[in-house]
Amino acid sequence: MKILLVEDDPLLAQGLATSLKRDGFVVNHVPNGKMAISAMLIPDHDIMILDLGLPDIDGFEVLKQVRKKLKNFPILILTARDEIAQKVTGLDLGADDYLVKPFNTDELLARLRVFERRLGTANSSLITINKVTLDLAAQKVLVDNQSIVLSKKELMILKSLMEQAGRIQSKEQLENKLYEWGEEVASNTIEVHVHHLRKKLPKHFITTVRGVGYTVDLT
Amino acid sequence: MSLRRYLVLILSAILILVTFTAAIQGYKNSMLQASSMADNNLKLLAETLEQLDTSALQMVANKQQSQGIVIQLWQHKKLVLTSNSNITSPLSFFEKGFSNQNVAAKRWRVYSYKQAYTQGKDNWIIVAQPIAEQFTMAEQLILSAMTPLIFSIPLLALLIWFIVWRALTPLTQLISLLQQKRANDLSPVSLPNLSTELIAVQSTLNQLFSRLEHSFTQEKQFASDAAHELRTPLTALTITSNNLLKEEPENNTVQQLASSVERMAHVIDQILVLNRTTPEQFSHQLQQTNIRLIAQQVIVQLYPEINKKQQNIELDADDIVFPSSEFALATLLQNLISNASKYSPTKSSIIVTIKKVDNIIQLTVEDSGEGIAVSERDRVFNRFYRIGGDQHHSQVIGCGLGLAIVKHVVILHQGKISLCTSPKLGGLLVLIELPLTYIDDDVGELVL
Repeated sequence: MKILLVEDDPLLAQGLATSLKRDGFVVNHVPNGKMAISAMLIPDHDIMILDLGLPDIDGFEVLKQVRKKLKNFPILILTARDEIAQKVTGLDLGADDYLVKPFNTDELLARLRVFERRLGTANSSLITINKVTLDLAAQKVLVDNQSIVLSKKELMILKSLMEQAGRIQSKEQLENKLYEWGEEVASNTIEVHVHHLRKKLPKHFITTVRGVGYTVDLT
Repeated sequence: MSLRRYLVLILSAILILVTFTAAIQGYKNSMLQASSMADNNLKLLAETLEQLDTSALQMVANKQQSQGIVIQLWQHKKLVLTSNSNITSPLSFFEKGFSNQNVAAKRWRVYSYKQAYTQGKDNWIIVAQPIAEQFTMAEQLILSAMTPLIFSIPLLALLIWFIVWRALTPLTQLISLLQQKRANDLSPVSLPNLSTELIAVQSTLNQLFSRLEHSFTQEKQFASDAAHELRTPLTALTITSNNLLKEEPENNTVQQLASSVERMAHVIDQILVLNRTTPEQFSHQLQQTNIRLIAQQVIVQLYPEINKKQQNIELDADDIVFPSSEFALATLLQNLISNASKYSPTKSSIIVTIKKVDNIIQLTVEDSGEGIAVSERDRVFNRFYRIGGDQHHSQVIGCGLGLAIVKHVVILHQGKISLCTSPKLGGLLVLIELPLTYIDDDVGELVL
């Protein structure tokens, strides 16, 4: 996956580039907003990592300009501003994700992988965790290499849990995703689906965090 | 005592005092004048009587009696003529001039006159008037002059009250305007028709407000600038040290470097958090917040850390919406839950409960760690205090700001915090009580 990194701090950019390259990403770095906008004219990148505090143009402005031309281009914002209002503005302007400095490299890599899977770029459409393999392209699930049958909603829940393995998906988050699919959601629907899912998957594959949500552990 | 009351009372008191002093002084002087006038009358009468013969004298004497004046004519110490037959003794001791005498149970003002033209004869004309009568007349005169003055006092007092009330009204308005101001409202005050003095007060106040507001925004700007300026190099440092660690995972020095960087990042983050939640900013950020959702978000965020230690976390929360700041609340929960995870062994449990009891939110975080000794429970809220100092045996990276921040946020919410031992898990139980309604007044001195 080819990343356009827009970051004015040379040391941070260099460190990030090293990190990302080691994990198999291709990184192009630009230090300011103007160069970022002109780099976007050529459809060469798969995702943009955008720092909001740029020396020439405000990051939000860059975000707006890029969004105008490319509606679905994935953009991840990096910022030192962690006020809630700023977060909301960023997401309203069409950013897909938001990371506040100082962040963990692993956190960034995890989020990038989610994008990667969403984009369906080669070799990443398969997620395998604990003998369970999710084939995003074919919308199929294999347990111990045996195909199992899941309903559309079960598949959707499993997909979001496995895509963000190691993180908790709250009941509300999962409900919101079902809504996106145009489904009406009864209050205990998620519990019912997870209950059915569990029967078809290895024991303890889905962990319940009481009062919070569900998670699939990476290990 | 209010200024208005003081002014009305003191001015009325002075008015009454001055009026009465003047009245008394006037009374005294008038009495003196009146008595000397009466004396003159007596003398004039006596001198006039001298010119008359006895029969005429008798006639005048009878007339004068109706006015209370007594006339006696003595010849060789014998009473020849009197206007009052009841008094037969001489009214004076036959000494020329004025004297006061007590005769017939009355006090008299007496004028004795020795006839000059009757040579060889010892003829005395004595004219007397009761002193009481002299004074009654004078008093009537004086009283009729003084009465309007006395009656004007209440009227004047009323006038004084009205004038003082009028004059102080702008001041009262200014005071009530200031009292109604909220703690975080630094907008200028403006009142019409102010006196010169109050215009000065108002403009000084407004200048002060604008200076305060300016320094508040500057302080906030500084915190935000500092956050940005520190966060970027900090991220660069964290990532670079992380890269280095991945390249040389066995290198001891690199490991130490990475953990120092992590520690520094933590300290700086905590200090910035402390500076970002000042009481002014807090009351500014207040909005209806669902504490259960915040707790969920915080647990989601901390889950990788908790999962790494294979700990089991449970949240038992009611949906409670109350005025708070999302940032402050998340900071509080983050510190408490992160502490519970850090200081508890692997595979242990953490329980978070959030319940509404009457009008109070009770939040507890329980763990099965070592807990905090009773003797340490007060001190752990101090800034930069760590149990056992830097030789903290848990090997956990920390800076001793976590609980100070938690307490800070609790105070901002006008709540209470206490530490005890968890009956269920055996470790620390942090109990926080937050009132459902926020009273917007002085948040009080922050004990940090």
